[in-house]
Amino acid sequence: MAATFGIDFGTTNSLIAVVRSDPETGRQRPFIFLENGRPHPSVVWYHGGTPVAGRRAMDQLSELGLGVFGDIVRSPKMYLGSPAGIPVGGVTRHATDVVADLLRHLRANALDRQYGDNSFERAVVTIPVTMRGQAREDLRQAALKAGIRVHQFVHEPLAALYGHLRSTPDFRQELAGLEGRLVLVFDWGGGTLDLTLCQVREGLMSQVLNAGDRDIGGDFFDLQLRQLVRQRHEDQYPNADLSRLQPHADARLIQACEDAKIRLSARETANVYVPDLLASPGGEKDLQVRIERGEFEESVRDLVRKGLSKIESLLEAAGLHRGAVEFCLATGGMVSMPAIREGLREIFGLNRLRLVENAATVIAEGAAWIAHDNVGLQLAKPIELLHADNSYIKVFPSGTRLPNDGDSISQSIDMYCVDPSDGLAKFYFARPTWPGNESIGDERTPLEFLTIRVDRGSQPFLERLQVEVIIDHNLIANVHARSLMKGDSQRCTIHDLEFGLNLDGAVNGK
Amino acid sequence: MDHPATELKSHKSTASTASPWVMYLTGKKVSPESVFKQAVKTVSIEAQGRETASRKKTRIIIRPDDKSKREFVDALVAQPDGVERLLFMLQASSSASDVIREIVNDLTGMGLVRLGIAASQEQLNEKALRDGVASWLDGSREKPMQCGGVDCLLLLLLYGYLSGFLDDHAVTENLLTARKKLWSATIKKRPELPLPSLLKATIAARKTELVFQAVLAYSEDTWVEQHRLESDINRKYEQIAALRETNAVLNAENSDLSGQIKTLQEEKHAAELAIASLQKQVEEIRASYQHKIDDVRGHIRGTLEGQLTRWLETSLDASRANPPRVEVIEERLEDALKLIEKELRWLQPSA
Repeated sequence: MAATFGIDFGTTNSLIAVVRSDPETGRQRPFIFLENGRPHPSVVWYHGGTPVAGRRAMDQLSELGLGVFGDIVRSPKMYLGSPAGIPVGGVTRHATDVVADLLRHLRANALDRQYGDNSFERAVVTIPVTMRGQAREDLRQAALKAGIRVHQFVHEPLAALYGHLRSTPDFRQELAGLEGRLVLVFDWGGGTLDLTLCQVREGLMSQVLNAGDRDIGGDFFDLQLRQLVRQRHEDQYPNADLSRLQPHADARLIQACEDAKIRLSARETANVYVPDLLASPGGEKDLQVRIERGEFEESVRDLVRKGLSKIESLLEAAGLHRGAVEFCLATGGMVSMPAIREGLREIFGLNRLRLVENAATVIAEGAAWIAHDNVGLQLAKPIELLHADNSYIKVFPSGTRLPNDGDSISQSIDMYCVDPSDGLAKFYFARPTWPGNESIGDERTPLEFLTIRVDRGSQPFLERLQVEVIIDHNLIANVHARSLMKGDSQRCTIHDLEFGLNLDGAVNGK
Repeated sequence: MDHPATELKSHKSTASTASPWVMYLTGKKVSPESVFKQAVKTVSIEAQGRETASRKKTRIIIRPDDKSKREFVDALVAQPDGVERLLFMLQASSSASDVIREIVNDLTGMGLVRLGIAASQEQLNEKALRDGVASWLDGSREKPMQCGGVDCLLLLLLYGYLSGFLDDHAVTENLLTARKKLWSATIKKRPELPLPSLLKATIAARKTELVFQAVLAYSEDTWVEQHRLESDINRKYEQIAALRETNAVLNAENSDLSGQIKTLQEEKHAAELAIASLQKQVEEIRASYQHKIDDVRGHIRGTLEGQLTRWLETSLDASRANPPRVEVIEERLEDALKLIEKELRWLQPSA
């Protein structure tokens, strides 16, 4: 049987991994498909209409940030779920097509390195916690266009946590030790900062609460550094006209700033040097700026503070003290920045901060392990329907196994209209706000509200109502409610179900 | 043979010629039936009715008178084949009329008395007959039986049988005993013929001794054949037993071989699974090694093409600047050296 791959479909970079036996140790471990030793940038360049993806497309970028830059799309996944197309290179393209071009590149790269008769047809794909159902559906379509069947989605922080735990010497013991505990996955990448509070409880690894920020990704640090460098150059040459850039000079400046940022993670100073930056005859045409680490950190202090403050905000929203967190798993390229590391150490201390070496690949590795271990998804919280007596009927209880590719699960409920006097029957779908707190008085988070017309003149408890809920492989709950006397029918969809990893099948040994 | 003749007891024979019964023994050999016919005469007798008397013709059997009887027994002992002829007559009488049977039986009884079986016809009973037969079988044929031929014995037995003194069993047993005595020198084992058929064949036959010998010869042949067949059967049984034994051995071997085949098939299946597993492992190992080699190549290529080339190019650009950007050159070269050191560490086997 062909292996199921793991895909980290990231904002700035994407990776593919597969678990196979390491010939030197004899143990199973994830193998990453890199592009010249580096991840594949999540960039697609339409060169004369022909899609070019990955590193070659990234090398064409002369601007920082996410989105569309001429005929280049950076982080196309942010367009998934939107009916509007992506205007790129003078052509409006559907997001699924652009994503499919990127995934096709990833798959081709992996197939080039699939030795023997191995194929690449199925994958566990990571998604942000905030990705809604329609976006998941679009992602599945895009993958299908690229020749990949999405076996299962998994949230990025859960994949990171699973990947980290799975690589520990005693995975089972680690899992057992986390029973009932909270783990913060702090993922600060080039595009976004994502914080997810996870819990392992009764064989289920799920997110409790999450928060994120798209405005403080690593690119914004690069922007700040570039701004600082430009400012310092202008200080050196007050008459320099920075609008008179040589062709591709901006791209060279971006690269030089990125190199400087990396250097400043390990050293106190960095020289940014870009010859022939400006189309000027004087000394200002060459840029050379010496940046001190403290100077740089001062320029991005607000970004760092804002990012770290998200931790306190998240814990406060959850009603928790930082001591309630068993450990913080820090991933993403930005956590190598000394100021951020120091900030995390201050919050969690040395013992509760896990700065993993494979921070850039741990999500892909987690997805590959999940595929290898055949770890399924299940509902973290029940889908409930409010009853007339203010109790909640569990349409799907927590722990319900969620369908994989091509499958669905359904549930039907028959009831009677209690009060038809206003001519409407109301269906209020909700879920408990906190896992395990499912009593009548516990706090609920609304999911959807649906009304259908009923026979106003009928007696209470006379008209029958039918509700059918189907959860598909995109983890979208499709609700269909009908009144059998009035004959009305309404539909709605619930996109933000909370689901986690069922760890029962996750202990297949090392 | 049916003889619808009526006996007239009052009739006295007026024939002056020799009695046909005596002539049968003394004259030319004729069939007993012809004698029986000669004994029947057609006579005219007066029948007395109620009103008128009338005469009518009828057939009568003329019984031999005492003189004829004496002449008959004299002829019996005098004639060399007298006993044989009487035996034929006695045999033929078994299918003749009651009167003929009575006459022949009477004549035979008298003949047997004359041959010394008994002192008188009244003493000719079962015991006398058995003694006579025993005497004949013992070889003391002169006493009490004064006749040594087989026909004498047959006559005794047939008379005893027809008179009711000897039953089927006794007759047959004595016949078999006689056969034993006659052929004991050449026959080791006698065939067991069905007794009734032997008796019937003996009684029905005219040439009794010849038939008897033919029957015995047939029996002998049959016995020989039966013996041969029995030998064949015994050999076949032995062969069957041997084959069964061989079959049992072969079955046991077959069972052992089946077990061995099953074991070998299981081992083969396990070996095939092991081979498939090993092949898969080999494939995986090959793929994993190839992956690692590609990773190393990609990593080195990425390093060389990326940072290292870029830094060296920057250093070159900085060296060509006027004045040269020494600080930049030093920094990039320093970074390049650090990177090379890092990559060398990465290339260590333990990395």
